[in-house]
This record gives sequence, structure tokens and C-alpha cells, in this order.
Amino acid sequence: MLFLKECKKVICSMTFVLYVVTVIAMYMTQYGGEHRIITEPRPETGDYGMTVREDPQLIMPAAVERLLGDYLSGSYPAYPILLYKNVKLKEDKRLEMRSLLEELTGLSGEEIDGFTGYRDAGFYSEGLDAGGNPIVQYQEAAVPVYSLPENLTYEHFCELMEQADRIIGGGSMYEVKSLANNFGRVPMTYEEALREYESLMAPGELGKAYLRLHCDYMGIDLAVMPVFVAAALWQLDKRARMQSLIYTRKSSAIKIVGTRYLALVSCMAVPVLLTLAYTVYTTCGMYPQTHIAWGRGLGMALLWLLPDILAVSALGALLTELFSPLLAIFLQCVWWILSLRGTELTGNVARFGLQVRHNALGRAVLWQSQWDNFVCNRLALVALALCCLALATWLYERRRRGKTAWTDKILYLGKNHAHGIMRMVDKKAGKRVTGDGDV
Amino acid sequence: MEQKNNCIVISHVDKYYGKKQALKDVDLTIGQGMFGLLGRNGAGKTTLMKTLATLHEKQAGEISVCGIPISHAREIRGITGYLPQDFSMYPNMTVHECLDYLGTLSGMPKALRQQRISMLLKRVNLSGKKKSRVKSLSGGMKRRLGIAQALLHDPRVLIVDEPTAGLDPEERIRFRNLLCEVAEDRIVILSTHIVGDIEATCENIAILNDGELLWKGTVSQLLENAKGKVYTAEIPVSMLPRVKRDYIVTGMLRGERTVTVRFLTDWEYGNAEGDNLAAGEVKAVRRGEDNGDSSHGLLPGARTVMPNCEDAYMYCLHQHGCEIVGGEE
Repeated sequence: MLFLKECKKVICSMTFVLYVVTVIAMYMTQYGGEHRIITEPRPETGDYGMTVREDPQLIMPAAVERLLGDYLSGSYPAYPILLYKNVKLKEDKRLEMRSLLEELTGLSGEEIDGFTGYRDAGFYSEGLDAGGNPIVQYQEAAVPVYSLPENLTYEHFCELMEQADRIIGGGSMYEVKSLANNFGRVPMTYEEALREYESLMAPGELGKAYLRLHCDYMGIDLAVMPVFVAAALWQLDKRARMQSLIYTRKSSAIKIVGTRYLALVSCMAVPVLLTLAYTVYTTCGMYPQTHIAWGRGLGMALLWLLPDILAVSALGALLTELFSPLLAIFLQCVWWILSLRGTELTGNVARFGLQVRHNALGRAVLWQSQWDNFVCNRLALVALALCCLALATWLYERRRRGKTAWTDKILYLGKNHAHGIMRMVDKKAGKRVTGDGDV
Repeated sequence: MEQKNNCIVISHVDKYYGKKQALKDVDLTIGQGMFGLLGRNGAGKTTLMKTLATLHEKQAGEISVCGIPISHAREIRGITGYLPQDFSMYPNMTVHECLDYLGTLSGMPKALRQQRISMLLKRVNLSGKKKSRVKSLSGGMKRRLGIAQALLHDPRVLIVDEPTAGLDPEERIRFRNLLCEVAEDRIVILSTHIVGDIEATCENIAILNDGELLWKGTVSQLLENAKGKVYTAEIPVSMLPRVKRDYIVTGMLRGERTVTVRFLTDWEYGNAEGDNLAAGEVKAVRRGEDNGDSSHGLLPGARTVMPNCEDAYMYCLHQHGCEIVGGEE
């Protein structure tokens, strides 16, 4: 059976082993330590965790104080392409930021720049006690005294924050979509905690809470790793110089490409299903007295994770067929990084996009409000997968009949161009050497 | 009609790669048995082979394989086996796994696959390598595995492109014999630029040059065509550059002071009446003309020999005005 033979090809490849390792590593390092048991909040404890509120009265002062502090310290933490970057502004950008702060604080530029007592919030040593040990105390940030303009609306504030983020170069704490998460965190009240608990204890919701967190982490891995396996499999015939032998067989392109894709997706789904099974097993162990209904939760998990595998594999196959495996991997990585940057950790599922995030154990009410967007997002990915697969099949048949794709011409021109540049560089290098020698 | 169902008919086929014309009005009929396609590198042999194997599309003309138009690619693939010039197989698969995989792609049922694989591996002398990985096979073994995969689905047509390139003499002979055996009941097209392979295996041949069909017929017709055009002479070493300039030299055997050259020419060597020549000298005269070109001078001891297939092929190229590089000046 062709399907099983294709599965064997997938399983025996190094990229598949790499894929399995990353799936397991992602699971173990990110979700594996999730042993929190959801318990009913008790009023006497007084601590019910944190929650996020989209409350302008909360967000605006906190964000402005932080921005003022960043301005005075001269550095802005940001994650422009996932990695941490301590951004330092050039003079023109600094002045732009200063005028923005003038509007936000009502202070003049001279007043802001003239403030010398800036101190970040944190723990500071305050002398020594009787025993000679340092006294360490938490201190609030020391910034100039200011007050927000009375007529500042939240909409205008958001516009100013958007400008601030643009000046910093993107990926900062002041991105409008992240304002609530960064500056709207407050302790949960008992009533809120109870409501959250009750929503989680509704039938089927407890299992879903754990599976959501599981899918949140695994989704990060599955939004990029399948491209490695797909690109390697699609390149295998060419690397093994076996294309002509396969092209001249009786099987149709639909059968060859379709079976190969099905094998690819099935093999990659297996470790994902195993981690899901393990989550179910460990969660059941955490709630021995509770009957957890897993049906809908597992349905949600499959709807969450399988479209990732389907779309990334199909796109990888298409791009490898069109260009090359390296370019396929590169383009997928770019999309992955951009989507990771542009996706909120919790609470705002985009209708179209590579990833869905819900980085919280709980917050079921918020999740339910995003359900329609979630379904739309996942179905869009499935549609993308089908389109890519159809295109890849069409291209395969064309290549089989000796017809080249337009991309072949681009790659050919690209290679020639690169050779031309290399020749020019060599020539210039040669001249320089001669020149040095003369000197 | 029945005859048409047992042969490949190629009529007025053109094929372009961009602006370059790779096949020019090729017109050929290939019947059952071994058929040799001869030509230089870049003559268009592989293009024609690939077109017959449905790997390329023609731009003009008609091709039918055993009565099936070439546009019916799926049907053609069902009756055609193809061994490309440059191929390999998944290096980590075993010989049996590779054949089984390709057999599955040919739509063969499992029982038939097992039966054909065992039979073919015996036939190509690879039974002992059934469980060996492809990457562990030698070049000759890979070629034999290649022929096994091409014969796996028992095709009526076998297309073999440059199969003996890079093989040692023993492997080459074994491979040629194998091809002759399988050609008993099917059409086998052997494309090569090694004339010896054609001479040893094919009765019918065609010569391609620069995409054009220069010649088609039997090997004996080709040899007949070159009869009386092949000479051998023992000349002083100092004369060699001149001989190489004036004639198509197909062989040289160096002695201490002399070289025995084998060469082709349209000129006839013989003494005309009244020639005052020393003993053993002959004068070149063009056949049918009264006087020879004196620039060709005299070659002592030149005598005609029976052409072999290589001579005949070279003569055919020369006859059709193809530029032949005789060697360094």
C-alpha cells in the first residue's frame, strides 16, 4: 500500500526525528510542568491571582509612568523579532518621544530633561541595620511629578501609544493590543475568582482549560516545524535522483502527491496525539474524584492543532515544488516569527492568521467570546492547505511533463545574477590585491 | 493496423527548449527488437527518449507508441519502461523495497510485485543483494537494478538512455547481453554515443545530429555506405599532423618511428596511368574525377580496409557535412 510506504519514508527521515524531538521538548519544557489544580476560591485567603482589565483609568497612568521612566533611562525594552532588544533612540527620535510625553504629562521638554532624580521601581538598599546587614526595601519609580491631561480620551491615548511604539521600532510594551496585558493587570476579586471557577467547573470545561493551555504551547511548535519535514520529503526524489523513475510510473499526480501529503500529515499528527493523550492522563490523575468530560475538549484540540500541521505542510510542499526547500523553510520561518509577534498571548483571536494563543489556565469566559474567530481562523488554514495542495499537484504534473514553472526562470536568473556578482567581487578583489602588491 | 500496434511511429516531430530547437522534423518508425539511437552528446537523443517516455512534450508532429497517441500519457506509462541516463534510488531503502515502491506506483498488485521482483532480481543477478541498501551498490549493480525497475511492470517498450556509460568492460558486455535478451518480445530503444554497444546489439539504428535525423536503416547498410572509404597506412611520425588535418583519422597506432593510421576519405587511392611513382607509393584521386588534389599528396602504402561501425558512423557524419574534429594540431 502506497500510503504505508510513504509513511515509512517520512518516519525514516532525520527531519521527522527532529520534529518529534521538538514536539516532545516543547511539551516537556512548556506544558509538562503544568500541575496547578483549579480549586474553589476561599474568601479568607485574600489572594485569587491576577486578572487583566481593559480599564483606561488603570492602563493610562501606568503606561505613561513607564514610558516616562523609559525615556529618562534612555532605553526601551522591546521584542521586535521575538528576541529581546534594548532600544536606544537617536536624537531625532528622542525629541519625537519627548514631544509625545509633553502631551501626555503636561510637562515641558526642559522639565522632563532637567529631572535628575530618576530611579526605576525595584528593591534598593537603605543603609544598614543594627547588626550591620543591609536594609533592602521596595521603592516605587522616581519620576517627575505630573498629571494626565483631563481631556485625554482613551482613543487619543491609544493613538499616542501607537506612535510611541512606532518610534521604538515595534514590539514594545506600548503596542496598543498589548496595553491591557502590560498595564491592566490587577488582583482578582473573590467574586471574579468564583465566577471564573464556576465557569471552569461547567460540564466539559475543566478538560478544555488544560487542553487550551496544551494547544497554546504546541501550536507554537506546529506553526513552523512541519515545514522542515515537508520540505525534506518533497525534495527527497530530487536528492535521490529518482524523479524520472517515479514520473514515468502509471500513478496519477493526484495519487502520488495526495498519498504523500496524507502520509506526511498522519505521521506528524501521531506525536501530537500522544502528547494530548498524556495531558488527558495527567489531568485525570490530578482530579481523581472528578469526572472530566473530554469529548468536546479533544475536538477543540484537534481543530486547533491539525490545521497547523495541514497548512504548514501543504505550504512547505508547494514552496519546495515552486522554489527550493531552503526558501520554503525560510519563508515559513518569517511567517511564523511575524505571527508570533503579532498574536496576543490571551484574549484576541484573529479571524485569519497562522496562530491562535490562549496562554492561560482558565479565562474560559474570554475564550468563549473568541470561539467564532477561532473556528474561522482554523477553517481558513484548512482552506489554505487545500489550495496549496491543489497547486502543488498541478505543478507536479507540469514538471512530470517537462514543463518548467515560472519560478524556475527566476531561480535560474537569480543563480546567474549571483554568479555574476561573485565574478565581479572576485575581479575587484583581484585588482585590490594587485594594488596592494604595487604599494 | 496490427503492425502499427507493435511499433513506435514518430512523424515530423519538433521540440524546442525556448528558442533552441532540440528535435527537427524527426520522422522514424521503430519496430520490435533492439533499436539503436546514435549521436554525439547534445544531438537530441535524450530529448527524443524523454519525449517517448512522456517526460517531455513535443511542439509539433505525431507520436504513437504501440498504437497509443503520446498525449495519452497514463496509458503510455503503463506500457513503457524507462531507464534514464542519470538516476539513482532512495539510498537508505533496500533493493527490494525500492522495487516494491516503484511497482506500487505502477499499480501492480502485491502478489504480482513479489513474483516479478524475485524473477527480475534473479535475471539481473542481484538476488543476493535483495536486502542490501541501494547506497551500498556499485555503479554496475545500480544499472542492473535500473533495468530491473524498468522491466518491473513487464512493459511492451523499453527505453534505455546511455546505460553503459561509466561501466567497466565486463559489466558493459553483461548489460548489453541482458538488453538483447529482453528485446526478444518487446521494443527496446537503446540510446548511446558508444558505437560499440550499438554494433554489438542492434540491427536497426538511427543517427541523430543537432536534432536532425541524419540516417536510418540497418547496421549492415551503414557499413555498406562506408565501404571503400576507410584506409589504413603506415606513415612517418612527422607526417601525422598533416594527415590529421587532411583526413578523418579514426585510429592511430604509434610505433617507434612510424604511425599506423586508420582514416576516412572520399578520395580513392590508386595510381593513374603515366604516374611516375616510386614503389609502394599511391596517389590520391577523387572518385570520378580525372585529377586528384595535389595538396593531399601521396600516402605510401595506403590500402582500403573493411569499415567497422565506428568508421561507418564517422563517415555518415562527414557525409552529411558535420564538422569533425580530428584531434589537436
